[in-house]
Amino acid sequence: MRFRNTETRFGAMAMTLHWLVFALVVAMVALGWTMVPMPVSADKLRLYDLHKSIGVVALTLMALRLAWRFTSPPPPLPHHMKPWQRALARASHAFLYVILFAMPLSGWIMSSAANFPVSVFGLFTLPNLVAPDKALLAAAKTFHRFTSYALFALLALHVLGAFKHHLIDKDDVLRRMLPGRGGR
Amino acid sequence: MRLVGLASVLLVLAFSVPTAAAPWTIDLARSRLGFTATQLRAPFDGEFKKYAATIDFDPHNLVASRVAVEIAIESVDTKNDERDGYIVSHEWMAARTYPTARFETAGFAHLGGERYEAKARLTMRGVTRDVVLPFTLKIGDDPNDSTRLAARVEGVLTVKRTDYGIGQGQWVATDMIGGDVRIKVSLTATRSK
Repeated sequence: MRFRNTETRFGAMAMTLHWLVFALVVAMVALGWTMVPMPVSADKLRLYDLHKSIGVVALTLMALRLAWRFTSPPPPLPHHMKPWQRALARASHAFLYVILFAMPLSGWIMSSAANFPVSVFGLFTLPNLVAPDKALLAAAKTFHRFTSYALFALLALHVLGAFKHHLIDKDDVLRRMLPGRGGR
Repeated sequence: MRLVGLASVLLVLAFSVPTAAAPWTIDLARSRLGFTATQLRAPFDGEFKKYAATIDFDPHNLVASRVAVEIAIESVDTKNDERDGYIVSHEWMAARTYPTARFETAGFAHLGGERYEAKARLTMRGVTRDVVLPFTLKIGDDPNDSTRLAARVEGVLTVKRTDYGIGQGQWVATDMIGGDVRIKVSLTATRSK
């Protein structure tokens, strides 16, 4: 497999970043769903600590992915796709990028507005993006929650789209994001 | 003979009673009783907004100097109402049972120049421990009032919250709410010249 993307498939860099981010998103959702309803306890704090630290890693990976997408553009969409399908594919990918930046950034704003600074695995602490602010904290909390719902919706669309291409169109859209079969 | 005896006793008494040090008035507007603690391994700042100090201090008469500070625990402010509520709760500072913390000096030492050290007893959540507060002291004319002198004290004291029982039960663990708390004292006090 090549490191960069080719005309027909994704390269090792894009593939690794894509599946890493997917794994982190699954972890983040699992942590978020578990930690928020817990009554305050040391264990709840430990989950928040993990959620915030992994969130910073995810944000960093998204920045890398964005930079990489300009360095090595993705392979073109299959010929059989109609204009509305192309538009939907491009829009959903763009929205996924936006959401995957908006989630960690709104989380960072929440932590800043709450005066609960973000430590990354105890190694270093992020600067606060904003001064402590009750109204901003409430707004960031709401934004973070509703953006997570948008993330679920887009994830579902993204996965369903991949399977539609693989099982119904029988093209290589899903396969070219998976290792194996030797690249060109 | 008896007169000499009496005079000697009086002389000894006169020199054994220390002369009073100078009383100062704390200027709350120019003072801050702050601290830095860690939560989820990240440092955050807070302060106690209500406290009162009795200051009897003379750098030339440290033996007679005494400082006592009483801090209202409910006045804690870490710019987060939820956290402030936990801080005063029973498992933490138990403010309803122990509404004040106290800092009372037992002695001072001059380390050289503007550097001093206060040996004191600190009482928090009903537990009293000996502490040492190194501080710098600058005395000069009060810029706000030419008839007065102003003394500026800056000192930092790190305490282990678990030494005072602050954080009970599951909160004895210090991984998520750090054990060390840095108390930062920046006080201005004035007295007439």
